[in-house]
Amino acid sequence: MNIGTRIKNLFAGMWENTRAVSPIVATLVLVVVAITGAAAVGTIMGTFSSDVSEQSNTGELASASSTEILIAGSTTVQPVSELLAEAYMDEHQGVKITVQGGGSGAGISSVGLDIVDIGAASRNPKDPELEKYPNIVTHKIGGSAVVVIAGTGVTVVGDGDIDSGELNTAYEDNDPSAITGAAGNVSGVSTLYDRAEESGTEDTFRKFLDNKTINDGITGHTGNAGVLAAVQGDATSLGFVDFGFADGASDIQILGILDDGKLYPAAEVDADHLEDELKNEDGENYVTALTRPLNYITNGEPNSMEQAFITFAMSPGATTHFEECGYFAITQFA
Amino acid sequence: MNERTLEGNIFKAISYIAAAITLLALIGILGRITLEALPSLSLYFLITPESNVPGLGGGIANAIAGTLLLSLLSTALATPLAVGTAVYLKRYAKPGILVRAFGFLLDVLAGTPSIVLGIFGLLFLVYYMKFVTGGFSLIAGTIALTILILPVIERAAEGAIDTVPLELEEASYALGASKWDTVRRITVPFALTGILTGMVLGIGRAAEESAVVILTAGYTQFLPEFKVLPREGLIFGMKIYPFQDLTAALPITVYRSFEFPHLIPASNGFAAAFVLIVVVMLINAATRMLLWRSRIG
Repeated sequence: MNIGTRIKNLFAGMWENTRAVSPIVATLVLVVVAITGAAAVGTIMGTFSSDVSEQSNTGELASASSTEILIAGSTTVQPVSELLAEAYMDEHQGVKITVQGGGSGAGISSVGLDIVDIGAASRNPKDPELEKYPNIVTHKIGGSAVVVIAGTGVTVVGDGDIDSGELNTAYEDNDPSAITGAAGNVSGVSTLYDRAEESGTEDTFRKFLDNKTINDGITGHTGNAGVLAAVQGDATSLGFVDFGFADGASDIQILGILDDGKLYPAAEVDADHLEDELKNEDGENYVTALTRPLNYITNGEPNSMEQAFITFAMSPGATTHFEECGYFAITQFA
Repeated sequence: MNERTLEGNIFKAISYIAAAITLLALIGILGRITLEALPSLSLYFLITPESNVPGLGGGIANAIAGTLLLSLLSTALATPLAVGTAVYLKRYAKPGILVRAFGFLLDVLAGTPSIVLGIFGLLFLVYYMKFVTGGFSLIAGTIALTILILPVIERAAEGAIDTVPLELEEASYALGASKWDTVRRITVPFALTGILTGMVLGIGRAAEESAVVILTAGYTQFLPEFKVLPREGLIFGMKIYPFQDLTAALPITVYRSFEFPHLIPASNGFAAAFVLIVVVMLINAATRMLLWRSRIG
């Protein structure tokens, strides 16, 4: 059978075996089709005109593509980035900011590879990263602090302070029994938890330890939320998370710390003291080594759109968004 | 009761218990997810994208749309490749060392952890091919998921082709049909039920995948848009939405509720999980209904 015959056969049914359709049914079908078509066209035109008016409002019709920003990186910075993006987009119609996680390391490498516009990191870039991506520029937008938490089954007496030396021994040797409290007032720790992935939180905590070593045998969990959930689910465990995640969380207790002879009691590990410490960096209110910056990182100097958003993140109006997440805006301490 | 009857009854009881445990586990999981999801399950939650809700969470329309796009597009891309490969291996290729090696490689691909494919996607599709894919995008996610589910559908198609009775095909040849006619009118329609099963498994695998998706499609709080805008650095100087734009997915939404427990209610995550199950069920049912009538045998 040749192609012409096949095509003829294919369409043969269109004029063979046809039957008359009731005029009423045909009219009804036509009415339905007309209404559906009108509704569809109306919706499409409405969407199109609102899109055009939104873009006209921004006055950036010439370069619509530059109104998109992709932020990725630190899971600590992610929630505040989302709130900042939302507030910024409310004020700037036509701008689209998308936020992703990944961790501080991923944030720095992604921006270095130019696959995201702004990298987020809850630490400063390390030397190897700066060597690999020499063009990256750091913009400090806020600060936060790492706190030590324990499950409710851990017995804590008085100030509940643990010595930094104990933490060092416990995390270096994976030896929970080393946690006894500076004055023997903490007991019952049977498990230690760490972060599973490269993170600014872990980096800050590691640097605080005397030997800057965390035993590979310690179970890791993903994200601040992972460590928090692990400690919440294991009453006799101990871990470290960002203050924003620990503040107000159930089934955990924040521990005080004795560092270099200076006591930071559990009752004073709160937003006021942490903010004062970020402001003064004098070790009077909290362990300075456990505070850390929240950074946005760009590949080279930011373009005008990125700069506008970063400026917004560093403005006094952004403070409420940082506070909502338990962090501190740059304007609160710089 | 003799020993053989006793043995039979024991294993019958074990089978019943195993089936009961499986069923109870399934009911338990689905029941718990449904109960936990109830506080968040509302029409507003389902039809509102996260970008339209203040704060984090609050809507999953962006993730539902993303999951539908990713799973349907990747299955649509993988199925012709998988069925074509299966037909080639079973009906055209001469059995030999090369065919066996090819089959072995497909098994290796099927067993490759999804994170490996995710990293490959991140480096190749998101980074090196950024000028085509647009970086993190629907197209990058679709291609990576296609590679992931291709062996699943291919193996199912091979198994299905094995069940086609040779007598039927021989009868076809006896009537003067060519090899292509036989494959098109006998082999594939007869094997359609098995191919369909592979497609359904593929859709489920694509919809549930999170590692590959987050590394290739990324995540977005916005609904997919359908438009074309000028964009420097991309092929043809334009960005085609939604293909070259970021895409959300339900598994990532589920994970985000765990990631930020102090900002997103846990019921949001359970509701997203519940919807994911429903979406996969609906896609499965629709696929079966669409293709069921084309089968023979």
